[in-house]
Parts: sequence; C-alpha cells; structure tokens
Amino acid sequence: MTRQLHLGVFIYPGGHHIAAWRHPNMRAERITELDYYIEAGQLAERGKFDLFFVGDALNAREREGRVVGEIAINNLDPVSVVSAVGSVTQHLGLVATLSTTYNEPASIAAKFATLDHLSGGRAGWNVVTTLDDKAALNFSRDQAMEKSLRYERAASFVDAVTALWDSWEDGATPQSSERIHAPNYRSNFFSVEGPFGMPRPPQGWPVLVQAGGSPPGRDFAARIGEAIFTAQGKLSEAQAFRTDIHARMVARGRDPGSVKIMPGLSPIIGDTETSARRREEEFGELAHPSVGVWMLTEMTKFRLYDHPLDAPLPTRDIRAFNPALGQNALSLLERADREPMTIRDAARIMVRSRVHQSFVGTPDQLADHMAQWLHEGGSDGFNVLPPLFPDDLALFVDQVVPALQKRGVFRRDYTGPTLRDHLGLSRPPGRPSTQI
Amino acid sequence: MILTVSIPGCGAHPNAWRYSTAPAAPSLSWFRTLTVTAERGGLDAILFDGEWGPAGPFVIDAVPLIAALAASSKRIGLGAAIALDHAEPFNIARSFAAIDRLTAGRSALIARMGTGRLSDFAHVQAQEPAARWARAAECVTVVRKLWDSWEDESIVLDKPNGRFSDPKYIHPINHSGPFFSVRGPLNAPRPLQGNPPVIQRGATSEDLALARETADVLVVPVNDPAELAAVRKSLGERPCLLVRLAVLLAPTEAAAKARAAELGGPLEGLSFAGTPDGLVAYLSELSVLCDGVDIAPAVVPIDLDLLVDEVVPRLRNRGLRPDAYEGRTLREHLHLSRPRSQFAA
Repeated sequence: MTRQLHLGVFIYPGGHHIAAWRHPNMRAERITELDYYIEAGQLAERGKFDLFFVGDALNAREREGRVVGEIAINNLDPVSVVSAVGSVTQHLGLVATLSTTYNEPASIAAKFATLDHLSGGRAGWNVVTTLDDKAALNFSRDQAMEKSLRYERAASFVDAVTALWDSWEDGATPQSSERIHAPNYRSNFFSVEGPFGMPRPPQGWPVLVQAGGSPPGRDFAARIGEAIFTAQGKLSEAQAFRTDIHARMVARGRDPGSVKIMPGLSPIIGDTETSARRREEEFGELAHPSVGVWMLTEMTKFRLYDHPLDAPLPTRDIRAFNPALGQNALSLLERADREPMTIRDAARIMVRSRVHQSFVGTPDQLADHMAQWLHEGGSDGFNVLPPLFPDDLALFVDQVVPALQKRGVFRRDYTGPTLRDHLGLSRPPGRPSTQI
Repeated sequence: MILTVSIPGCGAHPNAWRYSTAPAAPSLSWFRTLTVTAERGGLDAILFDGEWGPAGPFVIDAVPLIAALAASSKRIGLGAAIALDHAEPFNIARSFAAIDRLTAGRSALIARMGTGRLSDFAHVQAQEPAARWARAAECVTVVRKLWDSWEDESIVLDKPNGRFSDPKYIHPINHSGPFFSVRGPLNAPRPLQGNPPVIQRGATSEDLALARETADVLVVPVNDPAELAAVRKSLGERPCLLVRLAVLLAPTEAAAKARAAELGGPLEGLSFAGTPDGLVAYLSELSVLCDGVDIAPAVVPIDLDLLVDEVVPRLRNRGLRPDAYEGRTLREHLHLSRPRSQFAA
C-alpha cells in the first residue's frame, strides 16, 4: 500500500487565529463549554483523523505584568479536555500535553494510563519540558530549569513513567500478584518504587509525542518520540528536519519507521483561490497588530512594543539580545532573512498561525500540497491547525479529507481501535522479566 | 439530608471483589453505569477516590475519570480525589477550573492525605508529618486563590472592541508561604461554582483541623453515632459534615444476614446491614447528628442498585430527599453558597 498521511487536529479555544473568538460565526462563550469540544472531537472522528491534540501552558498570557485582554483563554487543562472528548468518540486518538518539569512521574504515569484504559487504548502524551520562566513562578521556582538539565530530567522522567507502565505484565490482574512487579526505578532525579495502581495500559505505552526543535529537543525526540509535531514552513526544511531526526534515531539504534513526523498546517480553504484569499483577509481584520507584536515579544523576549510597525523586523538585534531563542522563533527569523518583512508583517504571521505553515487555497490544491509533502519525504502527516473552530475543521473534514482519500493518501476508515493502530506504531513489548 | 455515594473499588467489604461484576481492568463503561444509576437515584454526588478493583493499592487517577463522565450525566455532582501530599496547587487549580466548566458546575475536589505510594515522591518522604499537614493546608489555600484570581466579571467577550477579558478583574496572587510561592494568576477562567467544593475525608485531629481551615465538606469515618456527635460538637457548624456509612442491603433481615455471612467478616467502621426500611430509619437517625451521609456500598454495584431502587423512593416518601434535583450545580445540591472572589473589591 502507498504511504498514507497521518492527521492530527490541534484544538484551540476559538481557533488558531489569535482573534478567532471575534469571528462573527463564533459564539465566544462556547469555548469553556463541553459541547464545543465534543463537536470538534466528533467532527475529527467523522474525518477519520488519527488524533485530537491539546497543548498546554502553565502561565497566564501577559503583557508587562497584566493579562492580555485582547485574546481568548489558553487551552483548558489538556487531560480533562481529551478525556471528555474520548468519552463521546470511539476511534479518535487523544493526545494531551504535560510538562516533565512541573510534574512527578508517578502522577503522570497514572494520568495517562487512566486515560488509555478509559479510552480503550487511544491515549498519547505530548512530552514537553516547559520553556517559559513565567511558568516557574507558578511552581515555587525563580526561573525555568536550564535547558540541558530540563532535558536530562525529561529523559529520566519518561524512563520512570514507562517503568511504571511496564510493571504489570500484560494480562495481569489484581488477583495475579506474582505478575505485578515493583519497577524500583532510581536516578539522580527520581526514585519510583511502585507497584503501579493499574494494569499495563491497553497500548502498552500511551503514544509518546514530542515537539522539541532545538538540538537537545531533537535528540530527545529521536530518543523517545513516536510522533513528532514540528513547525516547518518549507518543504526543503521539512525534508532536512525529517532526515535529521531519522539520522539521530539510527544513531540510537531506532528504526526511522517507528516515528511519524507531523508538521503543523493552518489551512484557509475556499471554493476558489479568490474566495480563500477573501476569507484570509477577513481574519486579518480581526486582530489588532499590537496582539501580534505582543506575540513576537513573548516568543523572542525582545521588546518590540516601542518599535514602529512598519520598520523591518530587527532580526540581528533579536538574535544578539536572545542567544537562546526557541525553534519557532528561529524559523521565523530565518524566514525574515529570506523574505524581508516588517514588524507588521511578522505580527500578521504570528496572529494567523504563529510560525506554523499556512495554506490558502482550494481543497484540491491543499490535498495536492499535502500529498506532495508526503511523497517527497517532507512529512508523514500533518497536525492541522484550523484558524476557526469548528467551522474550518468542518470544511477540512467535508472537503479536504475526501480529496485526500480520492488521491489514495488517507484512510477511508479506521482499521483498528487504538491510536497505535492509526499511526502504524507497534506496541512496546513488556519487560517485567528484567525486574525483580 | 445530603446523600452521596462513594465508589470504593469493587465495594466497601474486603471480599466484595468475589461478588462484584467489576471488570478486570478500569473501564469507562463500568464507571458510567454507576454514575447513571446514582443520578437516577437523584444522589447529590458520586465520589471517586480512584479505587477500581479489590481492596488494596489498585487506583486510577480520578480526575480524567470525572472529565470522561461529564457527557453522560447532567445533574449529579462528580468528585475526584487529589493527593494533597504531593500535588502542585497550580496543576490542581488548572485541572478543576477546566472540569468545573466541562461539567457545568458539578465537580468537587476530594482532598486526600496519606494516599498513594508516597515513597514515589522524594520531597514528601523528607517531610515530617506536621509539615505535611501544614503543606496540605497551604496547598488548598493557594488553589482557592488561583481559582479566585479571575473574578466573575473578568470575561467580557466584547467583540466590537476586541476585548475578551478585562485585565482589571484578573489578579496575580503573589502567594509566598513556607511551602509554596505562586505568582499567578491562573490561566483559566474562574470555575463555574466559583470554587468547586473541597471535600475532605478523615477523622483524626489533624483532619478536623485541616477541614475547619480549608474544606467545604468533611466526610468522616467513625465507628458509632456517639463519635459522630463528638465530631460535630468539636467542629461547630462548619464545614458541612457527612458521615461515611458502609451499606449492605437485602429485601429481608434474613437475606441480609445471609449475604453478610456469605461475604464473611464485618464491614469496617460505621455500617448498616439490613432491609431498605431499616436503612431509611437509620439514615433518619443519623441525619439529626450531621448534614448527610456518604454511602459506601458493600458490594458494587449490588448495594448501589438497591440503594437507588429501594431506599431512595422510601426516603422521598418520608420527605428526607427531594423528588428531583432542585439545583444545577453541586454547590446548590450541597446547600453551599457560591463564594465571591477573595480579590473582588
């Protein structure tokens, strides 16, 4: 069979356009209501999506010490949202983001194992290390943990969590205590004795998702990632990223086939290219440029508030000011080096899709584009970021999914019940024989 | 009287697993059936401490569980346990801010101490017991501050002017205490109930002290009604006091005796084994001593089914329970007023 795309939908309150909540079609109060998430989840399942993805943040979004009033709320607690969505869907994978820096392995292991049991094997954990210093202030720390230490802790964290998941042999029940083992995991960071409170998750391990783009992030992804979310604007860059991850995996003795790389993709669809462009303009009107400037400042830590909007984006100053820019910031600056842009232009990119790839066109154009990335080794699929929920997800499901199916690059139906089945990932073998 | 049910895995009796139809691994359909049954009986809340199997260390995380039950219930309160010994207040506040919205104001936080494998949490091991209690009290205090950090007026949804929220109603909490320093604000709007009820379990003097300071509801395990009366006296009017009662039911006294004998060994703590009429009389007596009862069925679902089908109608006939849900939120079911944000001017 020809390679198939894997599709995730990245939910965001209102939509991925930062001002989606202002769209005339949006009843903004819905974004804290259960039905809103149920509708999105059921739409995604109707579109045979692999997974439903919720990101996380551990601090309020502020500008100079005050919450930014122009934008909607952050995602609600990811595990709660995906768990609720899982209760009204049968196949859709459920991926929630949680931080290894501000949690403990025993709690996370229990959270995702619970989700995997309750959903019949559909859970995935997006493993993040949380970059923002402001999050640290909400967790009794002065600043974010230094990057290499954060990733060391993350690696140990994942080892502890998987040791807990593996501590029951497959098929063990509370009555077969001889088949329940104590993982006795110890490292410089954690000491986890177990035993674990429930049977091995249906998938063995919930799927491990990673999104790090920096060199330590890529190494971590190559070590643990089974699905990788990434921001890639151009096919050539996406190909290079994918090749790099595969090489890092081979160096670690992993089969490159055991990872699915899914760049973000924000589509604006119209019956004609012109009508798609018109929709894009409509969105552009919704956000004040100051919101984009705030987003740029947050991402780079370089204060842009006093700069004229039509001045060139000061890429050199930004790089000099912040040598530790994250991957998303770096990709934007690289893009600005290629195609000079003003602060206003950069702000518009940020409000539209942050740094993720955006596509404006007809369903057929988009399907061709996605198939091209698949065939030319740019990706194994996409994490779709609809600018407006649920409207743009509905358009994608009703118009783009059939176009992909017609091209033979996307499933017409689910073939198995678990997220691992959808992604074509094997189930990790247990390892109790190595335990006491 | 307030009436809630707790789900102690297969049941409150240590041998319940022999008679329970609970599946061999945690399953949503199992918990969903129990919740639908409890809601059919108009119970105020169903409380999940995470136990899912035979008595012992078999626990899941009850927080994603109640999120998964939001869509299959409409009125009943849904409680999930948090281990206060090692949880971070920001994470707790964030989870329950979401769940309280997703359940339309039906969530409760069950504050537990000393549960779970504390040895898995290095920083807990290092603490003296007194410090653990002090940390727990501070933790709940911080959680409440975070919930209150977005005042009710903060979400304005003013589309024409592009103002989603009004920052003047959103406050950093700047909490700095012996165990936590948390700047805030939370990155989620205030829970629909303002603060979801905080339900604590326990009967030691430390439990009572913590409950007095931080809880909306105390569920107290006692051995006899006299002990319950003593707790009420010691606590005063607040918080709302429920007594935990393990319950085994059968249509006749003889059948109840036979079931008890078959299970073997007694039910732990305050318990009742007998007929629906007998239980109604006993609940009526207990309701004088406290605000209500948290039932722990001896075997799940047998004794939950009997409670709902045989006992609740009799309680309604006696006027001890309403004929239908009167309120929308769990706070309303529990007759707890909705608190104003502590940051409100």
